[in-house]
Amino acid sequence: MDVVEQALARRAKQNDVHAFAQLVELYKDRIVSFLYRLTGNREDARDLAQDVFLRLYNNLHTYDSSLRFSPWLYRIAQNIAIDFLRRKKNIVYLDEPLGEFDDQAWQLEDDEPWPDEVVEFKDLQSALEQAMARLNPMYRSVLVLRFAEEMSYEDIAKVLNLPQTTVKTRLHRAREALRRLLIERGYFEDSQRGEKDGLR
Amino acid sequence: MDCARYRQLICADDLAPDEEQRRQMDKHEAECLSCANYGTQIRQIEKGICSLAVVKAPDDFVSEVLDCLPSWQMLRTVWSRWRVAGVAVALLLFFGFPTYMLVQYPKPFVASLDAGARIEVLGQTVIVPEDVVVNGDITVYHASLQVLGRVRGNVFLVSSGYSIGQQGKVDGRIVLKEHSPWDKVVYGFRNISQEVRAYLGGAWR
Ligand SMILES: [Zn+2]
Repeated sequence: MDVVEQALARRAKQNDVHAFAQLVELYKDRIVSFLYRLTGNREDARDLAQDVFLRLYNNLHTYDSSLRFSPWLYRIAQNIAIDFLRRKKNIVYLDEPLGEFDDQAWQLEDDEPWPDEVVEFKDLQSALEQAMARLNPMYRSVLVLRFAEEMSYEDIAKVLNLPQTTVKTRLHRAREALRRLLIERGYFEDSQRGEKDGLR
Repeated sequence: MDCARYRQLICADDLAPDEEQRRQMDKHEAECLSCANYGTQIRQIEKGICSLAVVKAPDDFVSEVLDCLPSWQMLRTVWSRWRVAGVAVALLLFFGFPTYMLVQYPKPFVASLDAGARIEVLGQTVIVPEDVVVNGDITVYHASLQVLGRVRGNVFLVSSGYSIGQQGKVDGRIVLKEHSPWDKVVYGFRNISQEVRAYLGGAWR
């Protein structure tokens, strides 16, 4: 698969529009889904996906065709999504916003009420989706890249332009932030209590 | 195994625990409710993210993206795709035209000072018939000359062959000359210009 994509990208780089169209066809659903998971809005995801592929086309000349294509494309998508969320919320997300495990540092995206104050969550899955929407997008994207896109740490590091060790730390913190949000809402039992009671 | 080690292993999703670690983790879970809960929560989170909604791109997504490409880039694309064909057409025009002239022309052609002489041209053959006498030189281009009558002068054969019949006679010399390729091109041009002029003259009349 990688070889095929690299070959297509190489041809697209030489202005072969058919090869470019094949790349779009190959990745369109994955990129739209990825953007949906980051933005939480279908229409935004579809519009942004178009921007992703246009930026891809305009930047193909900078693509090093000896490198794998998909982390490169996801990096474009990630940057576009983060730019979009910044503009939308007018929030500055720091690359590494957390100190050590400091409760105050878990950044939520906004202070809107939880949707279950309006609609009851049907199940844990929808609670998790709502909690994801409240995570810092930097956390959201690392979780999505790892568990939904099933990327290796190496690839995630390329997408996020971070060292692998930072990716691991961020992933751990993101998962912990999500867990705490679910504990807050009573979907998870607080297993930290056990720690405070005295870990073995 | 202690709680810290258990939690480290359960979160290390890039490293699959070996059989012994797996056994120890199971043992710890059985003994420690807090870690058992923690492990379940981590697995539920990972599974939940894995099952996040999938959104498909609209059906016309690819064409919409292509429509948005800047038009000059499309031109560049067309050029990069068809430049081989373009160069081939240019080469064909450049070399094909003279080649065409070399193939189409030279046409058989005969020049004689004796305007009244009845010299026949049949295909690639120029014939001086039995009962004809040509007074003066004749020049034959690109044909085979058959002298069945009489030529009272010299015969110049340009890229041409000849035969003289039993009753045929040439009083002067027979001079053979081959056109060089360049001569042929020049000759071809001259023929074409003559035909164009004839055509235009005909059209204006
Ligand atoms: Zn424990």
